[in-house]
Amino acid sequence: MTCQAIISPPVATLGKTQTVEQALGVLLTHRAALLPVVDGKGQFAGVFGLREVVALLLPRAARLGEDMGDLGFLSDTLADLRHRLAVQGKESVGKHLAAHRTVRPETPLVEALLLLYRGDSFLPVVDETGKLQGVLTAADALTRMAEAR
Amino acid sequence: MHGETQGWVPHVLFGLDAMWVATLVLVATYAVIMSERLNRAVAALIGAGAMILLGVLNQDAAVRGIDFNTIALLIGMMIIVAITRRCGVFQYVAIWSAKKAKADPAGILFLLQIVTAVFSAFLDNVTTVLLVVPVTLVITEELKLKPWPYLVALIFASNIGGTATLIGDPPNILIGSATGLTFNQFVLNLAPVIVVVQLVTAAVFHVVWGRGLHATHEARARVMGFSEIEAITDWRLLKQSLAVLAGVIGAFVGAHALGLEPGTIALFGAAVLMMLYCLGRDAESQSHEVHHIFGEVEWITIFFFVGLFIVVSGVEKAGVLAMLAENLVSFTGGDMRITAIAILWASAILSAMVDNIPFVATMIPLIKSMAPTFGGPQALEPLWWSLSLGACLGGNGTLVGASANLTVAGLAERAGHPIRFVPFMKVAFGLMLLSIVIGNIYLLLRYL
Repeated sequence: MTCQAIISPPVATLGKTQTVEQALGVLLTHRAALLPVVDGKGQFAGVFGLREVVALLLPRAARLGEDMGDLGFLSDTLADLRHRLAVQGKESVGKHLAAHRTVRPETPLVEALLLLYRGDSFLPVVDETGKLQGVLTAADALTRMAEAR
Repeated sequence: MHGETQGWVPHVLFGLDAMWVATLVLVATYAVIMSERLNRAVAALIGAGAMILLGVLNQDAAVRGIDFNTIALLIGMMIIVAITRRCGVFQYVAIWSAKKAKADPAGILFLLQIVTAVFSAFLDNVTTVLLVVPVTLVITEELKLKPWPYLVALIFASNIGGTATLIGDPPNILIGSATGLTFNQFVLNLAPVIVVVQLVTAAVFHVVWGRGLHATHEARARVMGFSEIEAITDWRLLKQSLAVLAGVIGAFVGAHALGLEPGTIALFGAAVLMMLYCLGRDAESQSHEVHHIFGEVEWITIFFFVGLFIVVSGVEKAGVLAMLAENLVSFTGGDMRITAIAILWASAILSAMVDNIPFVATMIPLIKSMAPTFGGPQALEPLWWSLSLGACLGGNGTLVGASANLTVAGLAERAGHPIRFVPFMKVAFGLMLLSIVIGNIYLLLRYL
């Protein structure tokens, strides 16, 4: 069995040229943590989600991961963070994309389940031309299995 | 057993001349290291293996070539720092210094250089920049300043400060270990000129960049609002690690009187700190933590040293270095002044372009074999200071000159502020030459 059978349309997609602020609106409306991002031609470009927005609230040095150590010495207030978000919100989603593992429609389903098991919350399904065909989530896969019984 | 090893005569494969084979292995190893096509530790180990397989050395002779004092000192200090950094003390000091400067951009630039230089004198340069750069990036971002001048200044400070002590920079560890020069001798002979070099460098940074940097009142207030005390994450560990660090440095100072080698002191200090860290934890947590701490030792560096020591001892055994030394001495006419200055400048220029560790590892036996010309090992002392100043300060010349430079470039890139080779060199090479001029004047005034 391949992923083809389980693909569902994403709850929403984001455009590369949208602003962070718009994208955050879409994420919050759909209560989604992460959404696929496409360019003008429907090609899959990456993902963008709440984690990427949170990163924008932190100093850029936070991207150094463990090398940064703690940031407990910063005393930013809610107003500071709101200001930071307002400034960063004008930037395009394309500038802050995260890379994400994808699967092809012909990828064996078990392989996709393994990736979900290893921690991906969803898998963008992309055809050989790089076009986004849909997404695959654990919930979708399990729903289909329940239906089939 | 020892007599047997000392009497080891190279019998090279196919009856080839040992001197040529050893030279070939050395040149090939260094070429591969410089090309950066192969990890340097792997390249050095391949070279070391070749020395043995081709018959220049046997295993006994190779193992005798490894300076375990250097290895123990490196590993010991790496472990101590890996534990100490967990308590947040280094972040504390960096923030404290920014606030001491009243969050003034120029003042911060100056104080961070001093803090980095002092840390670097007692810690490995790479470690020092790993500790100071992230918090510097946070400070410059809050001040809405480009981090470039700060990062370049910190690279310089880490390499300059490291030159001041026996433990500050690998070339000094190598020299100290090979010559028996003590921790105190390094401080007394190198620290005075290093203070001058650091202050002059900081002055240049101030004139060229510092005084032109401005931050808004609001941005400065935000930095003044940093709470450095929050950076300390573990008070018990802070006390333990500072006590062990103080004990280790105290023992370095008194090492000569105690009859101890720096390697013993550092590794024993590391063991004591690990013991304190383990106390009160269950067996499973202990092995988890100790495993993690050992994992933070930079094994690439350690095996790089192991391989290089063997390659260099092969070359030494085959008589190549003695021959080179003879040539160098006849070139300088056996004049101490010319020899010392030649070593200073040659090591500075070379260290700017290639890794200074293999260079210093090769120069040490070469300089040692000049002893008869200059009237015994004691007379060589100025040459060791020349080598140290040239090799350590030369590393500032280009982005690839020292590992700390590459570490800062890596951190900067990940934080979205890349440092490029050519723009760095345009600034750094001249500044490096300035530091060597100061070193040259110092050598002339004090020793030559």
